[in-house]
Amino acid sequence: MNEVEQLSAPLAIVVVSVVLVVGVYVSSVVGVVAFRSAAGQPLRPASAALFPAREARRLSRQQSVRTERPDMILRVLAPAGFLGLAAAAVTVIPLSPGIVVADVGTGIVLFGAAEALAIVAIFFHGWSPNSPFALVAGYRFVAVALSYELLSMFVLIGAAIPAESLSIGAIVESQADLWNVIRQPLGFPLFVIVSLGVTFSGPLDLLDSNDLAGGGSVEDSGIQRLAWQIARHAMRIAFAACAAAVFLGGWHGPLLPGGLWMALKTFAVIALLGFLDVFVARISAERFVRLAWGVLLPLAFLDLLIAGVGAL
Amino acid sequence: MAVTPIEVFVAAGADRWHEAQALRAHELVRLVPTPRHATVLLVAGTILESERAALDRVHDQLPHPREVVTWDEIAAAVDMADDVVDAVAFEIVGRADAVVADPTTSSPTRLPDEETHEWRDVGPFGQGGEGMMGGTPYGRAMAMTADDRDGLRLDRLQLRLGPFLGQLPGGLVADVALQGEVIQSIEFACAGSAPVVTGDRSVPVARRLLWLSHALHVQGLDAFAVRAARLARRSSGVGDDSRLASDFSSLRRRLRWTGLRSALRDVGDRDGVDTWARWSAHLDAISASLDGADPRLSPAGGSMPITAAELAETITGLTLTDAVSTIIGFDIDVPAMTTAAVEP
Repeated sequence: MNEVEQLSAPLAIVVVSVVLVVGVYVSSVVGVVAFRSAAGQPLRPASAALFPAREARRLSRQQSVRTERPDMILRVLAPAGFLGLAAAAVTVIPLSPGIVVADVGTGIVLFGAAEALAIVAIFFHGWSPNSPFALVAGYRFVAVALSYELLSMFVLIGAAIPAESLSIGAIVESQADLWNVIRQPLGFPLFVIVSLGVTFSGPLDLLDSNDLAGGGSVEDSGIQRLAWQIARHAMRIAFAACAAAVFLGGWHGPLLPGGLWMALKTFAVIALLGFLDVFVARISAERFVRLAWGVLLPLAFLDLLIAGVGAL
Repeated sequence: MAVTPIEVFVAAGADRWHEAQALRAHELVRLVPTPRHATVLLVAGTILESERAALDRVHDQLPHPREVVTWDEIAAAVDMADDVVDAVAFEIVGRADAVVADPTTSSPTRLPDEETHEWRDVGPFGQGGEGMMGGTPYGRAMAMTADDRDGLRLDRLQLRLGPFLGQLPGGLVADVALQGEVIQSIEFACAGSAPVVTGDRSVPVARRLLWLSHALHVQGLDAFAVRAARLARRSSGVGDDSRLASDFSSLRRRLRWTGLRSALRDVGDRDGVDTWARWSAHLDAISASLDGADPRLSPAGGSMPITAAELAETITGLTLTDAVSTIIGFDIDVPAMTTAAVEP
């Protein structure tokens, strides 16, 4: 394993902020491009590139309406916590050979913890405005989250077996010869489903969904809405980077420097998630829960079995 | 000139609700699911006296700066030759830009910021119930535990849906009792015994495409909803209509890859016909009309009329999501429902 460079605290904050700001911006541009291509509208790259900035400026000038007897603390804590957890998840992912913000030996455990606590932040988002549709959406999300959460644990542990370490850096090292996406073919698709769940996108768009008049975001306007959208894109970045590191070989790749490979692979996963978000219809929570426990969880066991047999 | 789409919430009476969906075709207008996201409130069609208070409440939910645009005023002002949807979109963009530039002109609040009902009622705690439970504090029934479908006891929440709810047809009002996400009972307020049209084969193809546009929006496919709205505009004579049939087939092919079928199959089953079968019937009818065939000859499926009571029976016990998908799948003729309720 390479000598790991532990970043100093101020530098770490700068690195995480830059990753998140650039990532959130890129992720929302991808969203605009995906939408326009699905809608058959002209793509207009220049306008798409400026779209997030203009949208942010517009929303920051809009009134943020206070609902009737909201849970104000949780209303602020929901987007802040969701964003904070995304940032925490980013810290354990190696950005290039030997560069990781927090070099903890149990990286995937910390990542999993951030993912599990994200459910709480998302529930707060549904709970806090004191509004029936938001509340229904929040509860519905928790039911779905409990079903996808186990998948994530199994596929991440499966990836840790060949590395014989819970550190994400070590998992990337273990893929020098063969990427996990090939060694454990079930892991990546299952992790993509988890990513769609945590960012409530596409088929798992069960939180801020149109069938509940905007669901968890039904009462959000102005800064409140902007903050939630930023937090959601940040979480998408964390999951895309994790998928790139754990399943797509991280910084491994010919010719280009490792950091660039990592960025390219992360971008590819962001694009995949962004396009699935636009191109796939929502399935009902009940149906997903059935699918998750009946089909996806057995597949996750199989993934673990493949990893175990491979390690013998 | 606006550079990002203006977010618009449509509060449409039953008679103009389909027409208003055509705005999705415009790149500079985005129809949003909740008034809280909107800059412009678009009021379209006939607002009944009974709906006026609800409209004012919706209006006050828009964040400042906000503006109101009335479809019927614009429709009355434009020449016969001009296109109403384009004129409305133009007006929306212009008014939104103006109010964002000068927020002091934002539409003022209509209702006083006070409770519509008193908290105080009879009983030791004043909420009107027994002991600490029950009653209707602030005019809303307190959620009380009751048996649920899984043999547990769960809070029962009473809600009124409509008449201006993004996911339901304009003018439709329903009183529901929810336990969790499951509908325990539902009653359509304006229903009476009015027969509700679902698969009337004489329905114009443009209206069917507008139904499709809204239905796709509800299923989370907003981008495809834009495509459907554009096809609807073209089918009603705006722009090029030479390749309409093949463009619709291409949209249908794309929809096959969205997972809609698995999302809607076995949802809202009635007499062996589920929501996906109803969608297929609508889509077949559109294909048939665009191909120039007599739409009445296309295969039936969900083409039976359904009364409000039957609809309520079909969706009782479903989750809110599935109930909304089911209601949308029928393409209810709300004006027929509303008129029947108004005229005794």
